[in-house]
Amino acid sequence: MKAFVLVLLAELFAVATVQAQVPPQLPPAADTRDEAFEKVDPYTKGGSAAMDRAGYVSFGPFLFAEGVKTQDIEEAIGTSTVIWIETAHFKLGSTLKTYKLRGDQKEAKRLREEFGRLEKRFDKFAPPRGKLDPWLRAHLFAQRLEELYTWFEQRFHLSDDEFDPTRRPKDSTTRTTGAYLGMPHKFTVLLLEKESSLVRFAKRFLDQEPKGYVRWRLGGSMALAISADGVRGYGYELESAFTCMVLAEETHNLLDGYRDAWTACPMWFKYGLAHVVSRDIDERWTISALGTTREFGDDSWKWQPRVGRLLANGFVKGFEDLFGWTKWDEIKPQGHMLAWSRVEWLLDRKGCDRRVLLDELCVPLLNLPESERARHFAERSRAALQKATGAGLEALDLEWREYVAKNYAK
Amino acid sequence: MGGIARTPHQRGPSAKDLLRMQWDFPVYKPVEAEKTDATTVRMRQALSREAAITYLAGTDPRPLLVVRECRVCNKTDDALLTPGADNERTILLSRWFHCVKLPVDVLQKDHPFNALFPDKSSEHLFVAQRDGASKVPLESATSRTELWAAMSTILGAAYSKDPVAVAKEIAKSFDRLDVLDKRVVELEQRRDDLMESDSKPDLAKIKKVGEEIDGTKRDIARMLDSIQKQFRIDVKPEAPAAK
Repeated sequence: MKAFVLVLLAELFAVATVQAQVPPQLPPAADTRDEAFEKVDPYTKGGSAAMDRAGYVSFGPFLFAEGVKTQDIEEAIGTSTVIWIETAHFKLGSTLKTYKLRGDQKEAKRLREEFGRLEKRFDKFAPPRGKLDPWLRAHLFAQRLEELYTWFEQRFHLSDDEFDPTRRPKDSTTRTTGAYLGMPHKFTVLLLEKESSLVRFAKRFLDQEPKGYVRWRLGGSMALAISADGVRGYGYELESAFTCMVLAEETHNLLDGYRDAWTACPMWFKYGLAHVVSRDIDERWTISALGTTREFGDDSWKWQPRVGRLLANGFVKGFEDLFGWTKWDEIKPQGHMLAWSRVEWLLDRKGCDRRVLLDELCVPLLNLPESERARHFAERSRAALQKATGAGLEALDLEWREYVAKNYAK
Repeated sequence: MGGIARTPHQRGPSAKDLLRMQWDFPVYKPVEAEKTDATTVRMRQALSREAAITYLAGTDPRPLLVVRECRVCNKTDDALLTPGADNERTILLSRWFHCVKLPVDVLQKDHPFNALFPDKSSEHLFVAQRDGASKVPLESATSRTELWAAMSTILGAAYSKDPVAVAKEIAKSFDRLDVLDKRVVELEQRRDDLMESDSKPDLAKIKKVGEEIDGTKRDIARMLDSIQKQFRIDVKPEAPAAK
């Protein structure tokens, strides 16, 4: 397990240390004061009927992961002001403080849409003016995570039933027994305001010292811990940017957790899909695609015309050029954009069996030596695309190029 | 991890990385293995001051700089990094300290490290030798001059060579690093623009820009390597215990 944690942290360390774009102004000094949270959720009042309506199982305390209680985490990070929410597929902990809206129109619009969906989960819900309190932030993230899970299942033709041994159809070909995409325990997410909390948690339970965030396999669950401090430290102040990063990283976890595949999915597909998810929230903040944003506020986040010009200028090689990535820092900015474009196109392509694609890409590696990974990912990717589409790589590549030339604005 | 320096200068990524406080966030782990479920409760206990210092120091040979986070005030940051002031000197000097940040609940009587900060009236920050000797408590009211004097005193006693003079030399490199970082960003943007140009790309120019990027990055790496070597100063050997 330690080796797997280190693999993920190597990716993370590269994210944290590769030169970030210089923001237009220094972020304000961190306010380390703790915010007093309401002990009882003001939206459901903790009532069982209200919790059922919201789709919640528990507000804690509960077992967060095998051998780790919510109280253990509170003790490790040095605070009991943690909001805990257990949903159908996730166990979420949050120490996020009140967020004051910054007047960003795109963010405000997206929040209004989310409030519309959230409102149906509560008996009474009055959208706040100008700020998101800690409990509301937790509710929003609970909704976002469950919506991501639903999207993932729908997009790849999965269902909860096939992973539940008591409800699995007799003709199901699913091989694993874990109820959560094949994992035995729910996906776990820690949203931490302070970087210090993230490091204390990771030191206590993982013997690691991450920067910004860490994804790992703890017991039988796929987990993500991320600090708002860390994301702000790279110049991303908006809540929408933090949301993009949380959901992008959780997409990695869904792929790593699928049938307990654990780093088996090739990097081009993982990053491509994570970028699709992130850009669906807000195209401006594809944070892990380092090097693609030149200056905050410019148009460099508009990837379609950039991909179109790269293609027109002859700087795009075939599909296979992406297949052999084994390390995050091998991916150039252009590579991120191309992975996103190809995956987005594949997901929408008629005649692409997305379930077959996922199944063929996410087969556990079974102690494959590091030196064999690039070759293995390339072969696996080639075979998966052939099986899922019935087309060879050259034909697919040509089709994608025609699609870009026709549909991407210049 | 750790706070980015609040300085009047907007530093590039290389200098910023050097000016990032390198905090250690120790978490006390009990020696005995334990199994927990959702209902069992394990009691925690405060260590003695000596045991707490020994645990925090660990195997790090550097003198200690210990800060406690505070629930109700911002004194933690103010005690060490003054908003708006030039913190670069403080951050640089801190590199020769084992910088430890403790959580807000260290004030609780049963916290393993409570002996270091027994109650709310305890200072928010202290510097000391590795074994806790020569402790100098500090607060937000401490002037920069007093802070640096306290840090310098501890460093002078701990190291075979004066880190204060080394810090001044290293600080002179930052402006040059900023120039190089800015050059890399400009060159990378130029390369992207050439590759994504509306007109036929100039491949020779793209190649040349790529070579300039590589060369500039090599210059940055050489400077950083030299700075890291300057950071390495031997601590004085510990005096043998009196018989």
